[in-house]
Amino acid sequence: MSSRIELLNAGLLRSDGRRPYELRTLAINFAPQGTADGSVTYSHGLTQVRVSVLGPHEPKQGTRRETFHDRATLNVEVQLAPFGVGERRRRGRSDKRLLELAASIKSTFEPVVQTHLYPRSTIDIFVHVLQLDGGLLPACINASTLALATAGIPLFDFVCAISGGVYGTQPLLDLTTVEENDVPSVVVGVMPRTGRVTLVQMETRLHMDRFEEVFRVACDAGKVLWSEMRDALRERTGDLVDKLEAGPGMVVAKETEETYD
Amino acid sequence: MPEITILKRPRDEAVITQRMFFKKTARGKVIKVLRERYLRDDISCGVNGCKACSATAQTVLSHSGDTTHKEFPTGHYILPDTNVFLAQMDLIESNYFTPPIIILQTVMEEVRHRSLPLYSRLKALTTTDERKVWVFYNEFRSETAIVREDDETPNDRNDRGIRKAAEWYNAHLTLAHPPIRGQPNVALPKVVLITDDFANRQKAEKEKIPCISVRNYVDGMKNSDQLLDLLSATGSDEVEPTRAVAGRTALYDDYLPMSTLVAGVKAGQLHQGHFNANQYNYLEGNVPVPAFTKPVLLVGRENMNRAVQGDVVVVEVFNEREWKAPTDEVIDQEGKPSYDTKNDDAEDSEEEGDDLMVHEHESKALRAEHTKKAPAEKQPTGRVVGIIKRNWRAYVCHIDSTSLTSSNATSLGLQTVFATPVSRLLPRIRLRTRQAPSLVGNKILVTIDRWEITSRYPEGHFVRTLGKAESKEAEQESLLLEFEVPYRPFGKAILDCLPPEGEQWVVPPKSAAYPEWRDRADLRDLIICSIDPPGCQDIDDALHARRLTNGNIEAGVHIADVSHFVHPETAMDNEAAARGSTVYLVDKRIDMLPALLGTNLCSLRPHVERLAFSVIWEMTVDAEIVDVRFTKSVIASKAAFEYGEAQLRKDDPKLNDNLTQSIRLLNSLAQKLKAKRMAAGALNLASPEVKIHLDSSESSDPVDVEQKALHETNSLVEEFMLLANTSVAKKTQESFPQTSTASAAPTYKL
Repeated sequence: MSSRIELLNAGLLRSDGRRPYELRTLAINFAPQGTADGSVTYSHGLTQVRVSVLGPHEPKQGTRRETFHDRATLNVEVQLAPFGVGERRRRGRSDKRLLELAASIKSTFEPVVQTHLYPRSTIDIFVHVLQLDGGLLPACINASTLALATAGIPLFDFVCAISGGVYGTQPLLDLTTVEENDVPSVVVGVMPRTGRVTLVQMETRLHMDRFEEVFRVACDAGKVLWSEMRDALRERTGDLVDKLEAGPGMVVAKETEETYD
Repeated sequence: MPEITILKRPRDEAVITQRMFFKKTARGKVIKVLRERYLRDDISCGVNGCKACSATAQTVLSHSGDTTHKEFPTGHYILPDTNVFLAQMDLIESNYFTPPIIILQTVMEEVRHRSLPLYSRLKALTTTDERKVWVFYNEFRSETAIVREDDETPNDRNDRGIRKAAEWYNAHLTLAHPPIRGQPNVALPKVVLITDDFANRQKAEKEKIPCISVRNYVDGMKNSDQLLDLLSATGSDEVEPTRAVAGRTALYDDYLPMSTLVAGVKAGQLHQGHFNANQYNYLEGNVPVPAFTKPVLLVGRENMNRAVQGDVVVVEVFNEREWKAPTDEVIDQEGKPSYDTKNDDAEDSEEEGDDLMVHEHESKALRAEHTKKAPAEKQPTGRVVGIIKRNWRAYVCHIDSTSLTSSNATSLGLQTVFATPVSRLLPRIRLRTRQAPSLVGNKILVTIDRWEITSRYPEGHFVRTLGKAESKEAEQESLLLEFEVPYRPFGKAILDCLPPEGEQWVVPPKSAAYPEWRDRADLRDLIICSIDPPGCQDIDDALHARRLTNGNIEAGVHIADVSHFVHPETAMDNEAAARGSTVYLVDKRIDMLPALLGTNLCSLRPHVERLAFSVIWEMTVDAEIVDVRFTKSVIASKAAFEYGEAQLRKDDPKLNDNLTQSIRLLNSLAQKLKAKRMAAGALNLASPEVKIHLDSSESSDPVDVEQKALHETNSLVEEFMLLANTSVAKKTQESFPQTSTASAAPTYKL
């Protein structure tokens, strides 16, 4: 390959010092954002996205037509901060790549969110890309999963997505921008509890013989991500519970519990 | 399967793990780039039995290092810096140079950035088994990773990284050799930094890192005699400032700075091109440039300004009044008058007066030529003002015996001699060697190191001896080297790509379970034969033909399926791509692929099953193609004929078996195909082929040359190969219209 950066050297180290099956560092922050019902700032390596989930709520005036009588609709909007990528450029709402990204997220979550519980309503997922270094779609999906969960929207399962590629014959996981530019890659989203796959996206050409291996490795990596995401969510819920018990809201919580009984 | 893990990078480490820089795109936009890296502790030092590094990692370096060097009796490993690899690759590649080498990632990357050929040589070095070379990924090891400081140049940063790694290694070795209780402390091996950069050595000494210059290091080695000659002249500057270089007059102009050259070329004031020396006149050369229809003529040493055949140079074109025409006369650099050779001394002690004489002689030769030319023949004339890229390689030379000083013709003292390259396009090379007398009469390999403005000739260093001049081996090797034919035996990495069964490899029994049979047609029952020149071992094509029930004829061409064994982007694929072709010499051949493939597994030998690619046509009796299909196949050739043998068989009326009929059928088709091709305006450009007779198969000395007889069967094979090629080209053109390349002569209007 003619790239100026050696993507995988003879010692099986990638250009950023990772081995082929090592994922980049992960940070999940549940700090609330404005009036959003659930929000997450998710950074994976140098990729950082912020997702806010609003809803379920009554559809806006203009979009009534698109509502369904038996389930909720998902509305996904993606914005890329001008400072997020190296080249500062304004991207309008009609940027085709962002629209496609939003469509991918939407179709990934449609079978996962229990939309039938909220007929005639809308769930908004707003994605802000703050920083970009490869693996944008996986980051958006993982962050959306967490944001939906924090918003209290029932899901059938998590969706954990990761990108995988092949350098020569060696599968790589979690590609950076440099790698994405040079290596055939595939994005896989798995539902880790059932092992079902809700998303496979490939924009480059990958040899058929290599696909299966990459696909399997990516599915396994999804499960590794899952444990990380689950822990983060549990910790956050634990914190909330602790705070409920410590604060004045404790009584209220007890009462509601009783009424349910 | 390795475990999948998430690497945790603490936020407070961002200073060392994140790197921000600005990049300018091709369009001129400036982009800010942020990269991160993950520092790790599992990068092994490569020393055998190191307690501190993980035991699972493979190790290359011996436990106690190399103990044969005078200066380092307690054992040592060497850690050369980038310039050592850039300048002294011949030394390091030599088989006499045996110390264990640690190559840092920083150094690898710098070499890669500076010179790709040297980088691939360096990589080859790290993969050979007999050498103890360890690549240490210092940029990823947490202790040795460094960040560039604000006021630091990238060079200084790399030097600091190299020193840091050397320091770490020396500290780390104490961990690899923990003191054993009850025993006196053993003296530890050292990691020695080798650098020719004086400032770097000073800094290293301040940090108590053992360091040494290349020359001093080689001096202390046990086989320094052979190695000292391999030292490149570039490194020897500060060691031997014996001559007052500054006091000497400059013979050539300095090159312009690179930025001026690039700007000049862009503005159209200067012109860039490859320098071609004139092989009949050493004082003349030319540079073809796009701006002129005729190449730019360079007349005289000063105007050629140290350019060597093949260099990419920048020339300045003179005013049109000064344009000249090229000479017709042969001017030879050896054939100069005797007073000249004497003064044009290799020892370079020439004084001002001698210099003038040489100069005068040369300018006389030039003047004589250029005054009498008709103006019509004049072409752009100019001078070299800079070099974009040197294309120096190792050249085959012989020592000019007149340049040896007679007084020390037998001594082993250091002397400077001239090496005359075999190629007439190259200037003589000045060479310092201790073994000059033993080199006289031999073909040797010499590399050019530099060409100073004060030196009439380039300076170089000796690489190795090829053998006695005019001996068959030496001449053969020198031919291969001069034409840059890679002829080395295949390395281990390449041989590892071969199927492990080796000669025993066979096509497995037919079953869907074997990947060999996937998508493959079973053509083992067809009556296939191959027709090749006598003594052919690499049978890469075979043919068959039979009548179909509908009256048409089925004909097939079967080519060995090399792609089954050679996969893309493997070491073998890269090597074969670099070699490009098998080179046939009189008595041996230089294979493109290892012999196991070329002459066995990918040779469609008779009576064995082989994997093949087949093109099968259905044709009418008039050789009109009705249908064509392409398939991977398994075939079993029934016979391997020579051209003559096949011809006899075809002409023998008594023979009437399947094979013979098949050949006759093919022949009849081939004749019709050829007639059609000729009618469509084909050109016949065949030149007579000769066969060289050898004395006997053992001695392999050629004794006679004979023109090869052409049989009808030659044309048979030729026609079908052409047909196969055109059919395949059509198919690829159809399937991959954007990427397929079909070469075809343009259509001419007659």
